[in-house]
Amino acid sequence: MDGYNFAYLDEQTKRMIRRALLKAVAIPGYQVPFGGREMPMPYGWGTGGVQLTASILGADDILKVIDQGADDTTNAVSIRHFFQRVAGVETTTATTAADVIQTRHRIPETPLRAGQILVFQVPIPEPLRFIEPSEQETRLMHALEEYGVMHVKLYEDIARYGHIATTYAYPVKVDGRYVMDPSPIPKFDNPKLDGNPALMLFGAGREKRLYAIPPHTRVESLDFEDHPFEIQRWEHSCALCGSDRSYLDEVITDDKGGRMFVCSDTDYCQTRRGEVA
Amino acid sequence: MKKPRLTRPVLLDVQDITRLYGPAKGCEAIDFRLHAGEVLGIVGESGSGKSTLLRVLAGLEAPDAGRVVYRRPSNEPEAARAGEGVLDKGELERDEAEIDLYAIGEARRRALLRLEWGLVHQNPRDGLRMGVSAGANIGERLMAQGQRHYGQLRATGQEWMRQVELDPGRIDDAPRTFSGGMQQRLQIARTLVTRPRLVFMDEPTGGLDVSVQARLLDMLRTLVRSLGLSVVLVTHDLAVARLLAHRLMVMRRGQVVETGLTDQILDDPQHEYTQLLVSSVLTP
Repeated sequence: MDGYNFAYLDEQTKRMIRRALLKAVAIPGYQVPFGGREMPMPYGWGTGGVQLTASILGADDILKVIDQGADDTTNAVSIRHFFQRVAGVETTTATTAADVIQTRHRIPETPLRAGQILVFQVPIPEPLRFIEPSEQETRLMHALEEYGVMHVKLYEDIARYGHIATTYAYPVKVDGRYVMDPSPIPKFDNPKLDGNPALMLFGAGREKRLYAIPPHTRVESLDFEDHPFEIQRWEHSCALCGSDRSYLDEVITDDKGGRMFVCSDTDYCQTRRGEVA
Repeated sequence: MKKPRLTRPVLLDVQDITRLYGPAKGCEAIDFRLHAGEVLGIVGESGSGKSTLLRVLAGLEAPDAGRVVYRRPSNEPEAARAGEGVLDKGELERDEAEIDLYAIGEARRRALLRLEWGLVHQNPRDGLRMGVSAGANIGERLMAQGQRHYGQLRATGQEWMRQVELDPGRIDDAPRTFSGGMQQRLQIARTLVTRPRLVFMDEPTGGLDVSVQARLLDMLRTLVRSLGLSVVLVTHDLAVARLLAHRLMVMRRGQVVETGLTDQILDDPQHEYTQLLVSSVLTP
């Protein structure tokens, strides 16, 4: 497109973000501040993820964008369209074919491979924020590894609900050092963070922070000895593809209580139906 | 009559502390030693520098001059003190006997505050997390030390609620549903749960009515004796000082004007300011 640099951002901005990304990869889970730019979309719509994607995208890369696992929801469609226009890159919905996958709230069910990059959109990067409002204090807590308060939240969950009721943005410890908010992915996806061969980058546009999990990094979900970490389970299988090991969305089908459970990852579901049918 | 033990080791060695915000604002040239198991009261009128001194002693504010040296008793068996046996003393080396509070790094200072010291604020809202339940408040310091067993944390929480005369059945209630006196008890439980050696208290009974104050003082006295705590107690209330403190330091305009045994100071004050202070106490 005329009048814009490749992938919308100017080269100096991209360089600055890449430099911050290198630092983030060098210190897994550490939040690196960066000079976030205004993007042609409102905060909360993935401006952090878009800036990261714009900085790492090459002309030959194939891009996939998902929102809650689906390729066809508003956020996914508009961001995919954005990069088609400003970078002219090829896009895909197939997880296996993509080089860069920008995601909101899910990690694809299909295992990622080495060389792929997963870019997360993050609303609140600070896992300690809910209990410590001061940024100065949370930075000090990260620096000194004072993470006791994270368990206060989990304790409070068990005291109130009888089990750890945090189901998304479940805090993790990266490489035995930094406690990190994995963005609002369901805790179902937390085990996929551990030792993943793909590079995972996290961008928060409003808070202007980015962080990363390099490939094959140890990622543990916080828990108690007598209340170990557990992922969600369903009594149903996917109504469309029959998968019993994917994250399911409940879909209301009529106003008489009719409902069905389907995979939230549309590419995974469609691929399986193609194979099964 | 039982003779006092004079061989108690020095726990806190305060050497010539000065922290001034302006002339006679703050504290100046404070020098004293706190022995193990001793309760030291610091009394004086508002603005006499007693809270500033406490902040410096408790590691919250660096002094302009002087040293605060903490001497850790070495002959005490560590495991017996720790109680639960899961405490991770990580950043603090065990065999180190003398710690200069402001010469060590911030990480180790905070670890020391978390593991071996405690601070009870005047307003329980400053010391408690108002958003989480009483049990989570009591368990926080234990979780910070690495305890990761929910059942044990809860049992410890209930045990401590009993110790401070709170109903253990209210363990899941938020502190804001507690009365002022109960909040103060909760704050004390939260501080003492890690069995600190040294506790700093800033007007622990301030803002409570007299009958609640009396019960709290009674409980504090029992706890101090049964746990063998050393306490630095800041108060403007001479009655509180009389009940809790073994020894008193009277401060005025940032300086110590008189020190001595509590009864000696209150019954036979030597300095004119102390005489004024003692004679100003209202008796019904």
